[in-house]
Amino acid sequence: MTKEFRLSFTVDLMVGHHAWFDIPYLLHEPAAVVKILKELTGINTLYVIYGGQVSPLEAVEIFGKWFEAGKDYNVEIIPVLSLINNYFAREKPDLIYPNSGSVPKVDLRLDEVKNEYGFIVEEIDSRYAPNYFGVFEFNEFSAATIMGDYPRIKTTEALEWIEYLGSKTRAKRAVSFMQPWALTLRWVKEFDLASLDTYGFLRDETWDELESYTKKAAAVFKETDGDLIILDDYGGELPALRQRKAAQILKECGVTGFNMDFIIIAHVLWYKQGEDFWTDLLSDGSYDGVFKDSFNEVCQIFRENQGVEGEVQ
Amino acid sequence: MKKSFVFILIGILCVFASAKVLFEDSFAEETDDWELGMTLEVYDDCLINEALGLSLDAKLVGEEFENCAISGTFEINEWGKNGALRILFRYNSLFESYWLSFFPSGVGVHRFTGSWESGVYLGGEDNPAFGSLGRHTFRIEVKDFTFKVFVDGKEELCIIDPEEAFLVGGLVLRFDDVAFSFDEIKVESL
Repeated sequence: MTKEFRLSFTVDLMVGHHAWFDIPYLLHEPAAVVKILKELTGINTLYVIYGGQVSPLEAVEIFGKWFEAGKDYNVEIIPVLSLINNYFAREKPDLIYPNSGSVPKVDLRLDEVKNEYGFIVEEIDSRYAPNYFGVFEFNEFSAATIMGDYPRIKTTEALEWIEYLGSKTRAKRAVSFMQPWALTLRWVKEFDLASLDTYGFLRDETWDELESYTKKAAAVFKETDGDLIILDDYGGELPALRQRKAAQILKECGVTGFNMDFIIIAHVLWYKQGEDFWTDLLSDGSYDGVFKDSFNEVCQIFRENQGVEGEVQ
Repeated sequence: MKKSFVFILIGILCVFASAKVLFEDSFAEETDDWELGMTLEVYDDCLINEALGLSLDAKLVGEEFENCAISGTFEINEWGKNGALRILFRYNSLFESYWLSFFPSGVGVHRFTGSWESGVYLGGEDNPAFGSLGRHTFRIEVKDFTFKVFVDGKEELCIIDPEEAFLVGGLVLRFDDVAFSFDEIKVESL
Protein backbone atom coordinates (compact mmCIF):
# COMPACT_ATOMS: atom_id res chain seq x y z
CA MET A 1 0.00 0.00 0.00
CA THR A 2 1.42 3.38 -0.89
CA LYS A 3 0.65 6.60 0.87
CA GLU A 4 1.77 10.17 0.54
CA PHE A 5 5.16 10.72 2.21
CA ARG A 6 4.52 12.45 5.53
CA LEU A 7 6.09 15.90 5.75
CA SER A 8 5.49 17.12 9.25
CA PHE A 9 6.42 19.60 11.92
CA THR A 10 5.87 19.37 15.64
CA VAL A 11 4.42 22.46 17.29
CA ASP A 12 3.25 23.63 20.69
CA LEU A 13 -0.53 24.02 20.91
CA MET A 14 -0.01 27.67 21.86
CA VAL A 15 2.78 28.35 19.30
CA GLY A 16 4.96 29.23 22.24
CA HIS A 17 8.69 29.63 22.52
CA HIS A 18 9.12 27.70 25.72
CA ALA A 19 9.52 23.92 25.70
CA TRP A 20 7.84 23.50 29.07
CA PHE A 21 4.40 24.39 27.70
CA ASP A 22 3.76 27.06 30.31
CA ILE A 23 2.33 29.79 28.11
CA PRO A 24 -1.45 29.68 28.74
CA TYR A 25 -2.58 31.66 25.69
CA LEU A 26 -2.12 31.51 21.94
CA LEU A 27 0.92 33.50 20.91
CA HIS A 28 0.11 33.19 17.20
CA GLU A 29 -2.96 32.11 15.32
CA PRO A 30 -2.90 28.52 14.09
CA ALA A 31 -4.34 29.59 10.73
CA ALA A 32 -1.35 31.84 10.09
CA VAL A 33 1.09 29.13 11.17
CA VAL A 34 -0.45 26.45 8.96
CA LYS A 35 -0.70 28.78 5.98
CA ILE A 36 2.95 29.87 6.14
CA LEU A 37 4.29 26.36 6.73
CA LYS A 38 2.22 24.98 3.89
CA GLU A 39 3.42 27.64 1.49
CA LEU A 40 7.01 27.33 2.60
CA THR A 41 7.42 23.59 2.60
CA GLY A 42 4.29 21.88 1.33
CA ILE A 43 3.83 20.00 4.60
CA ASN A 44 0.91 17.63 4.95
CA THR A 45 1.01 16.98 8.72
CA LEU A 46 1.37 18.85 12.00
CA TYR A 47 1.85 17.21 15.38
CA VAL A 48 0.26 19.62 17.85
CA ILE A 49 1.22 19.03 21.47
CA TYR A 50 -0.91 19.63 24.52
CA GLY A 51 1.32 19.98 27.55
CA GLY A 52 -1.22 21.28 30.04
CA GLN A 53 -0.95 24.90 28.94
CA VAL A 54 -4.67 25.37 29.66
CA SER A 55 -7.59 23.34 30.98
CA PRO A 56 -8.71 20.28 29.04
CA LEU A 57 -11.82 22.02 27.74
CA GLU A 58 -9.91 25.12 26.62
CA ALA A 59 -7.37 22.85 24.95
CA VAL A 60 -10.08 21.06 23.02
CA GLU A 61 -11.35 24.41 21.76
CA ILE A 62 -7.88 25.60 20.73
CA PHE A 63 -7.31 22.30 18.95
CA GLY A 64 -10.40 23.28 16.97
CA LYS A 65 -8.49 26.21 15.49
CA TRP A 66 -5.72 23.86 14.38
CA PHE A 67 -8.13 21.40 12.81
CA GLU A 68 -9.96 24.20 11.02
CA ALA A 69 -6.70 25.55 9.61
CA GLY A 70 -5.60 22.04 8.74
CA LYS A 71 -8.75 21.54 6.76
CA ASP A 72 -8.28 24.83 4.91
CA TYR A 73 -4.72 24.01 3.88
CA ASN A 74 -4.97 20.25 3.53
CA VAL A 75 -2.71 19.56 6.48
CA GLU A 76 -3.44 16.59 8.73
CA ILE A 77 -3.48 17.52 12.41
CA ILE A 78 -2.25 14.91 14.86
CA PRO A 79 -3.06 15.93 18.42
CA VAL A 80 -0.50 14.72 20.96
CA LEU A 81 -0.81 14.56 24.73
CA SER A 82 2.22 15.14 26.91
CA LEU A 83 2.42 14.18 30.55
CA ILE A 84 3.59 17.71 31.31
CA ASN A 85 0.71 19.66 32.75
CA ASN A 86 1.13 23.12 34.21
CA TYR A 87 -2.61 23.65 34.43
CA PHE A 88 -3.13 20.66 36.71
CA ALA A 89 -0.07 21.66 38.73
CA ARG A 90 -1.95 24.84 39.59
CA GLU A 91 -5.54 23.60 39.76
CA LYS A 92 -5.32 19.90 40.67
CA PRO A 93 -1.89 19.28 42.18
CA ASP A 94 -2.97 15.84 43.41
CA LEU A 95 -2.76 14.68 39.81
CA ILE A 96 0.90 15.62 39.54
CA TYR A 97 3.55 13.08 40.42
CA PRO A 98 5.50 14.55 43.36
CA ASN A 99 8.89 16.02 42.49
CA SER A 100 8.48 15.05 38.86
CA GLY A 101 11.41 17.10 37.68
CA SER A 102 11.79 20.61 36.42
CA VAL A 103 8.34 20.60 34.88
CA PRO A 104 5.23 19.07 36.49
CA LYS A 105 4.03 15.80 35.05
CA VAL A 106 0.77 13.98 35.72
CA ASP A 107 0.85 10.52 37.22
CA LEU A 108 -0.61 8.41 34.44
CA ARG A 109 -1.41 5.62 36.88
CA LEU A 110 -4.20 7.63 38.50
CA ASP A 111 -7.77 7.04 37.38
CA GLU A 112 -8.58 10.75 37.57
CA VAL A 113 -5.68 11.54 35.26
CA LYS A 114 -6.97 8.94 32.82
CA ASN A 115 -10.43 10.48 33.05
CA GLU A 116 -9.16 14.01 32.40
CA TYR A 117 -7.05 12.95 29.44
CA GLY A 118 -9.77 10.60 28.23
CA PHE A 119 -12.11 13.60 28.13
CA ILE A 120 -9.71 15.46 25.85
CA VAL A 121 -9.37 12.49 23.53
CA GLU A 122 -13.09 11.84 23.39
CA GLU A 123 -13.97 15.49 22.73
CA ILE A 124 -11.34 15.88 20.03
CA ASP A 125 -12.46 12.66 18.43
CA SER A 126 -16.14 13.60 18.39
CA ARG A 127 -15.54 17.17 17.23
CA TYR A 128 -12.65 16.84 14.78
CA ALA A 129 -12.22 13.10 14.05
CA PRO A 130 -8.44 12.95 13.62
CA ASN A 131 -6.92 10.01 11.75
CA TYR A 132 -4.15 9.64 14.31
CA PHE A 133 -4.01 10.53 17.96
CA GLY A 134 -0.73 10.91 19.82
CA VAL A 135 -1.62 9.34 23.13
CA PHE A 136 1.95 9.53 24.34
CA GLU A 137 4.81 12.00 24.11
CA PHE A 138 8.02 10.21 24.94
CA ASN A 139 10.59 12.96 25.37
CA GLU A 140 9.74 14.33 28.80
CA PHE A 141 8.78 10.91 30.11
CA SER A 142 12.13 9.52 29.00
CA ALA A 143 14.18 12.33 30.47
CA ALA A 144 12.32 12.19 33.77
CA THR A 145 12.60 8.41 33.95
CA ILE A 146 16.33 8.49 33.31
CA MET A 147 16.79 11.21 35.93
CA GLY A 148 14.68 9.28 38.42
CA ASP A 149 12.09 12.08 38.56
CA TYR A 150 9.23 9.89 37.41
CA PRO A 151 8.19 6.46 38.64
CA ARG A 152 8.90 3.35 36.69
CA ILE A 153 5.82 2.62 34.62
CA LYS A 154 4.96 -1.03 34.60
CA THR A 155 4.08 -2.60 31.29
CA THR A 156 0.53 -3.19 32.45
CA GLU A 157 0.16 0.45 33.54
CA ALA A 158 1.42 1.78 30.23
CA LEU A 159 -0.85 -0.59 28.35
CA GLU A 160 -3.80 0.55 30.46
CA TRP A 161 -3.05 4.18 29.56
CA ILE A 162 -2.81 3.46 25.86
CA GLU A 163 -5.86 1.20 25.89
CA TYR A 164 -7.97 3.66 27.85
CA LEU A 165 -7.15 6.69 25.73
CA GLY A 166 -7.25 4.60 22.59
CA SER A 167 -10.74 3.45 23.47
CA LYS A 168 -11.92 7.07 23.41
CA THR A 169 -11.08 7.64 19.76
CA ARG A 170 -11.46 5.99 16.40
CA ALA A 171 -8.03 7.31 15.45
CA LYS A 172 -4.96 5.15 15.10
CA ARG A 173 -2.44 5.52 17.90
CA ALA A 174 0.67 7.61 17.53
CA VAL A 175 3.65 8.40 19.70
CA SER A 176 5.86 11.46 19.34
CA PHE A 177 9.54 11.86 20.21
CA MET A 178 9.96 8.09 20.22
CA GLN A 179 13.23 7.35 22.02
CA PRO A 180 15.83 4.91 20.66
CA TRP A 181 16.31 3.09 23.98
CA ALA A 182 12.65 2.22 24.25
CA LEU A 183 12.04 0.50 20.94
CA THR A 184 11.90 -2.97 22.45
CA LEU A 185 9.30 -2.20 25.10
CA ARG A 186 6.19 -4.30 24.80
CA TRP A 187 3.77 -1.40 25.22
CA VAL A 188 5.43 0.68 22.55
CA LYS A 189 4.31 -1.89 20.00
CA GLU A 190 0.76 -0.61 20.51
CA PHE A 191 1.48 2.48 18.42
CA ASP A 192 0.83 2.54 14.68
CA LEU A 193 2.76 5.71 13.96
CA ALA A 194 5.95 6.87 15.63
CA SER A 195 7.63 10.20 15.19
CA LEU A 196 11.24 9.32 15.91
CA ASP A 197 13.51 11.44 18.06
CA THR A 198 16.75 11.47 16.09
CA TYR A 199 18.39 14.41 17.83
CA GLY A 200 21.42 12.65 19.27
CA PHE A 201 22.36 11.05 15.96
CA LEU A 202 22.37 14.34 14.04
CA ARG A 203 24.17 16.12 16.86
CA ASP A 204 26.91 13.51 17.07
CA GLU A 205 26.85 12.45 13.41
CA THR A 206 26.46 8.84 14.45
CA TRP A 207 25.06 7.77 11.13
CA ASP A 208 25.42 4.03 11.65
CA GLU A 209 23.36 4.32 14.81
CA LEU A 210 20.73 6.41 13.04
CA GLU A 211 20.55 3.71 10.40
CA SER A 212 20.18 0.95 12.97
CA TYR A 213 17.54 2.83 14.96
CA THR A 214 15.52 3.71 11.89
CA LYS A 215 15.54 0.16 10.55
CA LYS A 216 14.46 -1.25 13.89
CA ALA A 217 11.72 1.37 14.24
CA ALA A 218 10.48 0.66 10.74
CA ALA A 219 10.10 -2.97 11.77
CA VAL A 220 8.11 -2.10 14.89
CA PHE A 221 5.73 0.59 13.62
CA LYS A 222 3.55 0.71 10.53
CA GLU A 223 4.59 4.32 9.95
CA THR A 224 7.59 6.32 11.09
CA ASP A 225 8.94 9.77 10.50
CA GLY A 226 12.32 11.12 11.54
CA ASP A 227 13.34 14.53 12.85
CA LEU A 228 15.70 16.67 10.73
CA ILE A 229 16.65 18.84 13.67
CA ILE A 230 18.78 21.93 12.90
CA LEU A 231 20.27 22.84 16.29
CA ASP A 232 21.48 21.40 19.54
CA ASP A 233 20.03 22.09 22.95
CA TYR A 234 22.75 24.62 23.75
CA GLY A 235 22.27 26.94 20.81
CA GLY A 236 24.72 25.41 18.35
CA GLU A 237 23.77 24.92 14.72
CA LEU A 238 23.73 21.49 13.13
CA PRO A 239 25.04 22.32 9.65
CA ALA A 240 22.83 21.82 6.63
CA LEU A 241 24.83 18.86 5.37
CA ARG A 242 23.64 16.84 8.35
CA GLN A 243 19.95 17.24 7.59
CA ARG A 244 20.63 16.22 4.00
CA LYS A 245 22.59 13.18 5.12
CA ALA A 246 20.00 12.26 7.76
CA ALA A 247 17.15 12.57 5.27
CA GLN A 248 18.94 10.22 2.91
CA ILE A 249 19.57 7.63 5.63
CA LEU A 250 16.06 7.88 7.02
CA LYS A 251 14.54 7.27 3.63
CA GLU A 252 16.85 4.43 2.77
CA CYS A 253 15.99 2.78 6.08
CA GLY A 254 12.26 2.87 5.56
CA VAL A 255 10.71 5.93 7.18
CA THR A 256 7.39 7.03 5.75
CA GLY A 257 7.98 10.68 6.51
CA PHE A 258 10.12 13.51 7.82
CA ASN A 259 9.55 15.74 10.78
CA MET A 260 11.09 18.80 12.38
CA ASP A 261 10.49 19.81 15.98
CA PHE A 262 9.66 23.50 16.19
CA ILE A 263 9.21 23.37 19.94
CA ILE A 264 12.89 22.96 20.69
CA ILE A 265 13.85 25.27 17.82
CA ALA A 266 11.68 28.11 19.15
CA HIS A 267 12.88 27.43 22.70
CA VAL A 268 16.61 27.37 21.95
CA LEU A 269 16.45 30.37 19.64
CA TRP A 270 14.56 32.34 22.28
CA TYR A 271 16.82 31.51 25.19
CA LYS A 272 20.21 30.98 23.55
CA GLN A 273 20.12 33.31 20.56
CA GLY A 274 17.62 35.95 21.62
CA GLU A 275 15.47 35.27 18.58
CA ASP A 276 11.70 35.05 18.31
CA PHE A 277 11.41 32.24 15.78
CA TRP A 278 7.66 32.39 15.24
CA THR A 279 7.47 36.14 14.87
CA ASP A 280 10.36 36.02 12.43
CA LEU A 281 8.78 33.26 10.38
CA LEU A 282 5.25 34.59 10.41
CA SER A 283 6.15 38.21 9.70
CA ASP A 284 7.20 37.58 6.11
CA GLY A 285 6.99 33.85 5.51
CA SER A 286 10.67 33.10 5.94
CA TYR A 287 13.01 32.50 8.82
CA ASP A 288 16.02 34.81 8.59
CA GLY A 289 17.79 34.09 11.88
CA VAL A 290 21.18 32.63 12.69
CA PHE A 291 20.31 29.10 11.64
CA LYS A 292 18.64 29.99 8.39
CA ASP A 293 20.95 27.83 6.27
CA SER A 294 19.99 24.63 8.04
CA PHE A 295 16.37 25.68 8.26
CA ASN A 296 16.19 26.42 4.56
CA GLU A 297 17.87 23.11 3.78
CA VAL A 298 15.10 21.26 5.59
CA CYS A 299 12.47 23.31 3.77
CA GLN A 300 14.17 22.38 0.52
CA ILE A 301 14.25 18.67 1.48
CA PHE A 302 10.56 18.84 2.27
CA ARG A 303 9.75 20.50 -1.06
CA GLU A 304 11.72 17.84 -2.92
CA ASN A 305 9.63 15.17 -1.27
CA GLN A 306 6.22 16.62 -1.97
CA GLY A 307 4.05 14.14 -3.77
CA VAL A 308 6.51 11.35 -3.13
CA GLU A 309 4.81 8.16 -2.15
CA GLY A 310 6.05 6.15 0.78
CA GLU A 311 5.63 2.46 1.33
CA VAL A 312 3.42 1.75 4.33
CA GLN A 313 3.74 -1.63 5.97
CA MET B 1 -0.92 -45.33 69.11
CA LYS B 2 2.66 -46.31 68.36
CA LYS B 3 1.96 -46.18 64.61
CA SER B 4 0.50 -42.67 64.68
CA PHE B 5 3.47 -41.48 66.74
CA VAL B 6 5.80 -42.74 64.01
CA PHE B 7 3.78 -40.90 61.35
CA ILE B 8 3.90 -37.68 63.35
CA LEU B 9 7.64 -38.07 63.85
CA ILE B 10 8.18 -38.66 60.11
CA GLY B 11 6.07 -35.60 59.38
CA ILE B 12 8.10 -33.45 61.75
CA LEU B 13 11.35 -34.69 60.27
CA CYS B 14 10.10 -33.96 56.73
CA VAL B 15 9.23 -30.41 57.72
CA PHE B 16 12.64 -29.87 59.22
CA ALA B 17 14.42 -31.56 56.34
CA SER B 18 12.73 -29.60 53.54
CA ALA B 19 14.17 -26.28 52.50
CA LYS B 20 12.24 -23.20 53.41
CA VAL B 21 11.42 -20.90 50.51
CA LEU B 22 12.77 -17.47 51.39
CA PHE B 23 11.77 -15.77 48.18
CA GLU B 24 10.10 -16.88 44.96
CA ASP B 25 8.91 -15.13 41.82
CA SER B 26 7.53 -16.66 38.67
CA PHE B 27 7.06 -13.21 37.12
CA ALA B 28 3.32 -13.65 36.68
CA GLU B 29 3.05 -9.90 37.14
CA GLU B 30 5.37 -6.99 37.85
CA THR B 31 5.54 -6.40 41.57
CA ASP B 32 7.32 -3.87 43.70
CA ASP B 33 9.66 -6.61 44.91
CA TRP B 34 12.10 -5.64 42.17
CA GLU B 35 13.70 -2.42 41.06
CA LEU B 36 13.93 -2.93 37.33
CA GLY B 37 16.21 -1.26 34.80
CA MET B 38 14.75 0.81 32.02
CA THR B 39 14.00 -1.75 29.35
CA LEU B 40 13.29 -4.67 31.63
CA GLU B 41 9.66 -5.69 31.50
CA VAL B 42 7.47 -8.31 33.09
CA TYR B 43 4.92 -9.84 30.76
CA ASP B 44 3.92 -13.24 29.43
CA ASP B 45 4.99 -14.66 32.80
CA CYS B 46 8.62 -13.66 32.26
CA LEU B 47 11.11 -10.97 33.05
CA ILE B 48 12.19 -9.86 29.61
CA ASN B 49 14.70 -7.69 27.84
CA GLU B 50 14.95 -7.44 24.08
CA ALA B 51 17.35 -4.51 23.80
CA LEU B 52 21.05 -5.17 23.25
CA GLY B 53 23.81 -2.79 24.20
CA LEU B 54 22.58 -2.01 27.70
CA SER B 55 23.48 -2.97 31.24
CA LEU B 56 20.33 -3.59 33.20
CA ASP B 57 19.71 -4.56 36.80
CA ALA B 58 16.80 -6.26 38.46
CA LYS B 59 17.40 -5.61 42.13
CA LEU B 60 15.46 -7.51 44.74
CA VAL B 61 14.31 -4.94 47.25
CA GLY B 62 14.74 -5.28 50.98
CA GLU B 63 15.89 -8.89 51.10
CA GLU B 64 19.18 -10.21 52.42
CA PHE B 65 20.31 -13.79 52.57
CA GLU B 66 23.07 -15.67 54.27
CA ASN B 67 23.35 -19.38 53.54
CA CYS B 68 20.89 -20.26 50.83
CA ALA B 69 20.28 -21.85 47.46
CA ILE B 70 19.40 -19.56 44.58
CA SER B 71 17.88 -21.23 41.56
CA GLY B 72 16.15 -20.15 38.39
CA THR B 73 15.36 -20.68 34.75
CA PHE B 74 16.12 -18.35 31.89
CA GLU B 75 16.32 -18.34 28.14
CA ILE B 76 19.05 -16.57 26.19
CA ASN B 77 17.71 -15.15 22.96
CA GLU B 78 20.67 -13.14 21.68
CA TRP B 79 24.11 -12.16 22.90
CA GLY B 80 25.60 -8.75 22.18
CA LYS B 81 29.32 -8.22 21.72
CA ASN B 82 29.90 -7.88 25.46
CA GLY B 83 27.13 -10.14 26.60
CA ALA B 84 26.83 -11.56 30.10
CA LEU B 85 23.91 -12.70 32.22
CA ARG B 86 24.77 -12.46 35.87
CA ILE B 87 23.41 -13.40 39.25
CA LEU B 88 24.92 -11.13 41.89
CA PHE B 89 24.61 -12.81 45.28
CA ARG B 90 25.48 -11.57 48.73
CA TYR B 91 25.05 -8.21 47.06
CA ASN B 92 26.05 -5.18 49.12
CA SER B 93 26.68 -2.89 46.17
CA LEU B 94 27.57 -3.46 42.55
CA PHE B 95 31.23 -3.89 43.37
CA GLU B 96 30.78 -5.39 46.78
CA SER B 97 29.36 -8.79 45.99
CA TYR B 98 29.86 -12.13 44.27
CA TRP B 99 28.95 -12.44 40.60
CA LEU B 100 27.97 -15.66 38.91
CA SER B 101 28.20 -14.85 35.20
CA PHE B 102 26.99 -16.75 32.16
CA PHE B 103 28.91 -15.86 29.00
CA PRO B 104 28.63 -17.25 25.48
CA SER B 105 31.76 -19.23 26.34
CA GLY B 106 30.82 -20.60 29.76
CA VAL B 107 30.30 -19.62 33.38
CA GLY B 108 32.44 -17.99 36.02
CA VAL B 109 32.34 -16.56 39.53
CA HIS B 110 33.97 -13.27 40.53
CA ARG B 111 34.34 -11.46 43.80
CA PHE B 112 34.40 -7.66 43.98
CA THR B 113 35.42 -5.80 47.09
CA GLY B 114 34.93 -2.14 46.29
CA SER B 115 35.69 -1.38 42.66
CA TRP B 116 35.89 -2.93 39.23
CA GLU B 117 39.65 -3.24 39.67
CA SER B 118 39.14 -5.23 42.86
CA GLY B 119 37.53 -8.05 40.90
CA VAL B 120 39.00 -11.50 41.45
CA TYR B 121 38.09 -14.46 39.31
CA LEU B 122 37.35 -17.25 41.76
CA GLY B 123 36.76 -19.93 39.17
CA GLY B 124 34.74 -20.99 36.20
CA GLU B 125 34.14 -23.48 33.48
CA ASP B 126 34.60 -22.89 29.77
CA ASN B 127 31.77 -24.61 28.01
CA PRO B 128 29.79 -22.92 25.24
CA ALA B 129 26.84 -25.16 26.06
CA PHE B 130 26.21 -23.12 29.23
CA GLY B 131 25.86 -19.91 27.24
CA SER B 132 24.15 -21.36 24.20
CA LEU B 133 20.98 -19.76 22.99
CA GLY B 134 17.94 -21.34 24.56
CA ARG B 135 16.74 -22.38 27.96
CA HIS B 136 18.97 -23.00 30.96
CA THR B 137 18.57 -23.68 34.64
CA PHE B 138 20.96 -22.73 37.38
CA ARG B 139 21.33 -23.28 41.09
CA ILE B 140 23.90 -21.75 43.41
CA GLU B 141 24.28 -23.29 46.82
CA VAL B 142 25.88 -20.70 49.06
CA LYS B 143 27.09 -22.13 52.34
CA ASP B 144 29.43 -19.93 54.34
CA PHE B 145 32.16 -19.28 51.76
CA THR B 146 31.68 -22.35 49.61
CA PHE B 147 29.63 -21.93 46.46
CA LYS B 148 28.39 -24.87 44.44
CA VAL B 149 27.09 -23.99 40.99
CA PHE B 150 24.74 -26.27 39.07
CA VAL B 151 23.99 -25.59 35.42
CA ASP B 152 21.21 -27.39 33.61
CA GLY B 153 20.87 -29.79 36.52
CA LYS B 154 24.51 -30.78 36.87
CA GLU B 155 27.08 -29.57 39.38
CA GLU B 156 29.75 -27.72 37.45
CA LEU B 157 31.65 -25.62 39.99
CA CYS B 158 32.60 -25.78 43.62
CA ILE B 159 34.32 -22.58 44.65
CA ILE B 160 35.72 -21.40 47.93
CA ASP B 161 36.36 -17.74 48.69
CA PRO B 162 39.56 -17.79 50.76
CA GLU B 163 39.12 -14.12 51.61
CA GLU B 164 35.69 -14.75 53.15
CA ALA B 165 34.56 -11.38 51.91
CA PHE B 166 30.78 -11.31 52.31
CA LEU B 167 28.69 -13.51 54.54
CA VAL B 168 25.37 -11.84 53.86
CA GLY B 169 23.80 -9.70 51.17
CA GLY B 170 21.01 -9.18 48.69
CA LEU B 171 20.27 -10.47 45.22
CA VAL B 172 20.56 -8.71 41.87
CA LEU B 173 20.10 -10.04 38.38
CA ARG B 174 22.35 -8.12 36.02
CA PHE B 175 22.08 -8.28 32.27
CA ASP B 176 24.86 -6.89 30.10
CA ASP B 177 24.20 -6.69 26.38
CA VAL B 178 21.92 -9.71 26.24
CA ALA B 179 18.37 -10.34 25.10
CA PHE B 180 16.70 -12.90 27.33
CA SER B 181 13.63 -14.00 29.21
CA PHE B 182 13.81 -15.06 32.83
CA ASP B 183 11.09 -17.51 33.86
CA GLU B 184 11.46 -17.95 37.58
CA ILE B 185 13.75 -17.46 40.50
CA LYS B 186 13.71 -18.99 43.92
CA VAL B 187 15.77 -18.56 47.08
CA GLU B 188 15.61 -21.36 49.63
CA SER B 189 17.28 -21.98 52.92
CA LEU B 190 20.02 -24.57 52.97
